Formats: sequence, structure tokens, C-alpha cells
Amino acid sequence: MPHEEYKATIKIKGRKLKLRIEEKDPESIFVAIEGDTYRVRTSDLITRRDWSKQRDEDEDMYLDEEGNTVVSPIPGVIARLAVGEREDVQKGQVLLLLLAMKMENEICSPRDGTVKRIRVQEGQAVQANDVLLEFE
Amino acid sequence: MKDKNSILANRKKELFSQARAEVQHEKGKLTARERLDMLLDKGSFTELEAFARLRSHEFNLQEKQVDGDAVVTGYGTISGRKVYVYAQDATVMGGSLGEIHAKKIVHVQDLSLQTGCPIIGIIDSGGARIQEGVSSLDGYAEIFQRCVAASGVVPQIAVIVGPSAGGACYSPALMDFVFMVKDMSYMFITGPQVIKLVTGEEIDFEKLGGAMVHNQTSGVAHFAMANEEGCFHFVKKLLRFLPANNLEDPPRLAPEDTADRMCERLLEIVPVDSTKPYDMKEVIEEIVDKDSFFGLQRFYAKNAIIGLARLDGYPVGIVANQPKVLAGCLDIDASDKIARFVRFCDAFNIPVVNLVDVPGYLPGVDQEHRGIIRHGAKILYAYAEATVPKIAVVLRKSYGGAYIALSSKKLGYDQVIAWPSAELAVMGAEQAVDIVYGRELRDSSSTRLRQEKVSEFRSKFMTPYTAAEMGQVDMIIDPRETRATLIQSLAFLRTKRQVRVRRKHGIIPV
Repeated sequence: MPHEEYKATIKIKGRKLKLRIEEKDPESIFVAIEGDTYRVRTSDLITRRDWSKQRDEDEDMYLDEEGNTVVSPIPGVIARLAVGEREDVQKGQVLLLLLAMKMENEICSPRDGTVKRIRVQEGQAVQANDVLLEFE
Repeated sequence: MKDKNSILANRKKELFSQARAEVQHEKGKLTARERLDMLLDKGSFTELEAFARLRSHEFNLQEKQVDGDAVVTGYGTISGRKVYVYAQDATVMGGSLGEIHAKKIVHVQDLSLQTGCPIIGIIDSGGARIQEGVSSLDGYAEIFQRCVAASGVVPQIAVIVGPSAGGACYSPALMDFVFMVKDMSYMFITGPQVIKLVTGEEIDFEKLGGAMVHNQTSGVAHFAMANEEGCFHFVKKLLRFLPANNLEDPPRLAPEDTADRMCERLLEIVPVDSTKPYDMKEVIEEIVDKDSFFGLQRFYAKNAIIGLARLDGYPVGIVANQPKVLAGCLDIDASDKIARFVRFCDAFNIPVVNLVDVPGYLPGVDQEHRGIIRHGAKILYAYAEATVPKIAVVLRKSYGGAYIALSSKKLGYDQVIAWPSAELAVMGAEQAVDIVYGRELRDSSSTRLRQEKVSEFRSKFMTPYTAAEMGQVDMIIDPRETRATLIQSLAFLRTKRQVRVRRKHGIIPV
């Protein structure tokens, strides 16, 4: 395994720091900063591009929902409406609670928008794919 | 010798053609070799059959001969562990697959199987090389044949970083894990043009077979990445959980979390009222070793969560219901997702832990007509067949068919652990009373009888004690002890041996 060493100077908040980086083995890289040496595991390393997008909570990855309606994902009974008509809602906001499969299911908004019409009432039974509300 | 060495050096230099690399870079993509560099430990790659060339002379193909025939194959290490690799080179005839191209892939597939090392295929290919005719189709056949032969023997991972069209789709489809990149990877049997010609439907590449279509809708892929570098990083993360082959145990890492840590947060995360939803992912993260949970198929059938994690440093497969989505019920897609994962874990000696909070199978005409019976049967089959340690932890609900699939000791769970909030029953109290006492309730004018029966039913089945009295629950534990209990149980089950009758293979309902 070739043994490689690099030197660099970085500036953080006006303070200059000298770095010495040594590639020791396939598993680790040693980084010496001002006399302190840290071991970085290469398996933890992140390469050239931005990795922040590879997380669970990354909502951007999802396909855009098409159409202007929210439909029931499951047969059940409307337990409670959480928004009213003409109300502005944000993506992820709870629109209503649907009682189904022994559970109060939160039906969340697929996008930002304004509620145009609510097509169901509290206590009403709905089937899967029934339209619950419409956006502007 | 000096002259001969310089001839070799020139041939080698040509393999790294700068002109071809630039074509790929202009598209915002890495070259086949750069991809391997990113995947493998520095300097560890050894190339095989680098000078192999196509040998067909049909349609003047000989004029297009390039060393390597549009695929780079060989071996190297990832975190010091041996793997075989192949990466298709889209800059040579679109990465199309001909006879010699296929032969090179088949060679590393054979070596991977014979030496018991994982194989990673990096796919970027226009498909079969039309000029080589049936030879290129037969090339696919040979590759598929080896995918199947190696299935369950060595881990097989496909990274799609370009098109994978027509028959070529089936090589990733036969492998264990498929990675795709948004706006870069496409998989389809027939492309947009053919579809338009045949059915008149207009659709673009991304909507037809892009990364999110296969991660969210079709369930073909297991990972969706924002860029291709992400794939290589995640392949490495994935491999850290897996043994090199079916005869090895998955690798233990030094635990970075204490084995007897009390999971205090579980009391906050999970509402006692079983009609209230919560995020099961937080439960998983609280139980397993810190930061070790690695979710698979995160965008598909989100009512079920599957993933790899560590408990005291040992890899485990986690299967959990997600009460936040579709009440956490089992449907067709969740069944397929869970069943395949359990079979994967079983093949590679990874114990399975279920975190159960399931109201049942999803009712509905659509599900019935699309074959929930056939698909739901896969979960039963996969768990009943698996010989690795299997533990079920029932958090709250475990009802009906889903109870059998995910938490019945009689199906083969080595241990069933219940929280005090567990409910194990055929169905909910209200529905049960309506069925069992239907006639009496109709005859009686008061609602008191119904209420009495419901509360009787509740006190009997809405607790774990009735099941525990029958020996169907081994332990009832304080939720905070879940982690410590699982680690202890798995330690005692680690040497589990279960012998099956010899047969060619079972016939799983597909």
C-alpha cells in the first residue's frame, strides 16, 4: 500500500491551522492538526459531492403528486377535520383524522396550497380513493 | 524488453482515453473507472481481460473494436474485504452488451461465486448490441443464469447509473439490491418510443422508469440517491452488514453503545392509546446501537419498515410496522417487501427482529382481487422457512392474520416478547363482539349488553396476559428493557441450528 502524505494550511475564523494528512491503510487516514492527531475511518468518509440529500427526511426525492385532490388511502370514518375551506395549508400539515384499522390516521397535505372544498363531514364513512378535499 | 514495455504502456494508456472520459463528464457522469475508484479501496483494483475485444464482423463492427469491449471487470477491496466488480463503459458503443462484453462479466460472476465474494455490477448500458444479434441476447442469458446460481450464496448488488433497458433490466432484478440515481438511472422493458408506437401513451424516461418510479411505485429498486457518489458510499455502508457469503456469519463491529442501555425515550414515543399513531423509525433508532439503523426500500410500501441494524455490534434485520402510514397494516406491497427481506436475511445468516404494531391485513376489494392472499402468503412462507434466529416484539397491536405472520411462536418465532401494552387477538373488541354475539345483541334492546361484552373482550384479549398464560408469549417486559432483552436473547440464540429435510427447493407463492 503506497504511503501518501499531504500538508495544508487552513484558516478558520482568522486563525491559521496547519494540517498534515497521512493515508495509512485502506481503513484509515490520520489527520494531524496543530500537534493533535485524529484517526478518520475511510468508511466514514464522504466524497466529492454534497451528501446531505441522502437522508430519510429528504422529501424532495418523492415524485410530485399530480392533481388537485387528496384521496383517502384506506377505507374508514372521518374522525375530525383539522382544516377549513379557504384555509392555507403547508406540506405535511394534518388535514384530517381518519379512523381506520383501529387507528386515528393523520391525513397530511401533500403540498402547500389553499383548501378549496372539503368533500367530507365528520362521522362520514369513506372508501379507499374517495376524494376528501380539493385544493385551489 | 523496453520496447515491448512501451507497447504495453501505450495499450494501457488507451484504456484510460481522455477523449472518452470527457464525453461522460460533459453529461455530468463519472467514467466506469472513476466509479470503480470511488467504490474500491485506493489502489486495490486489479483489472481482468482489459484487452478483450469484440470478434463479430457483422455490419463492419471490427472497425469499432476497442480494448475492453465497453466493460471494465476485475476485483478489489472495500474496507479491506474482497469483492468482484464490473462497470459498463457507456462511452464505447453506448456500453452495449455483446458476446465478449458478456463473457467478461460472466467470468467475474463465476469467480465471485467460486471464491465466495460479493459482486457489484455498475450498470450504464444501452442494452443488447444489435449488430451481434442473438449472441448478445445469449450473453444476457449467461449472466442471468449466474445471477440465479449465486443468489443466496454471495451478496449481489447492482448500481444503475445510466440506462438499463429491455432484457438488461433482469440482471439487476435478479440481484439482491438495486441502487438508482435520480435523473440519471432508467430501467424499463420497453422505452417511451415503443410505448408511444404501441399504446399511444406519451411518457418521458424519468416518469416511465426513473429512480423514484422504481423506489416509490414499482418496488424494483431499494435505494434512491440524489447523485451517483451516494450510491458508492451506500454500497460500502450496506456491505458492512453482510457476510462475504452464505457460509460466513455477518461481521460484528466493536459496539459503540452499551448493551444494557435502558430505552427511556420509548415511553415518550409510543402512545399508550393504541389508536394514536407514532413514528416507528424513532422506536427502532432508540433500540438498536446508536446510529446503526440502515433502512432499505424507504420509499416503497411505507406501512412496513425494513432495514439492517446492529445490536451489541452484531448485524440484525429489522422488520417493523409503521403505524403512521396506513395504520401500519400489511398490504400486497408490504408483504412483498417484508418477505423478500426475510429470505435475504435467512440466506446470509442475519437474525430477524420484528417490532410489531399491526392492526391486520388491509381490507378491500382491490387488495383481494389483486391477490392479497397470494402475496400475504409470502410473509408466512418466508418466516416459516427461515432458520436464523427470529424474535418478535409486540409493542401494541397484533391482530388476526398479521399476528400469525409477525408474532406467532407456532410459526417458528424463537421468542415472542410483549410490552404490557400488547394486544394479541383475532380482531378488535367491538368487531369481535358484533360477530360473536350478533344475534343476542340484535334481540336485546339495550346497548348495555354490548358494552359489557366489549369490556369483557377487552380485558381478556387487549392485554398480553391471556396469550402469555397459553405460553404464546415468552416474556412481558418494561418497554425500556427492550434493547437489553433483545441483546441477551440474541446472544443465546446465536448458535441456533435447525435442520430441514433435503429437497430441491420449496415453492414460494409468487
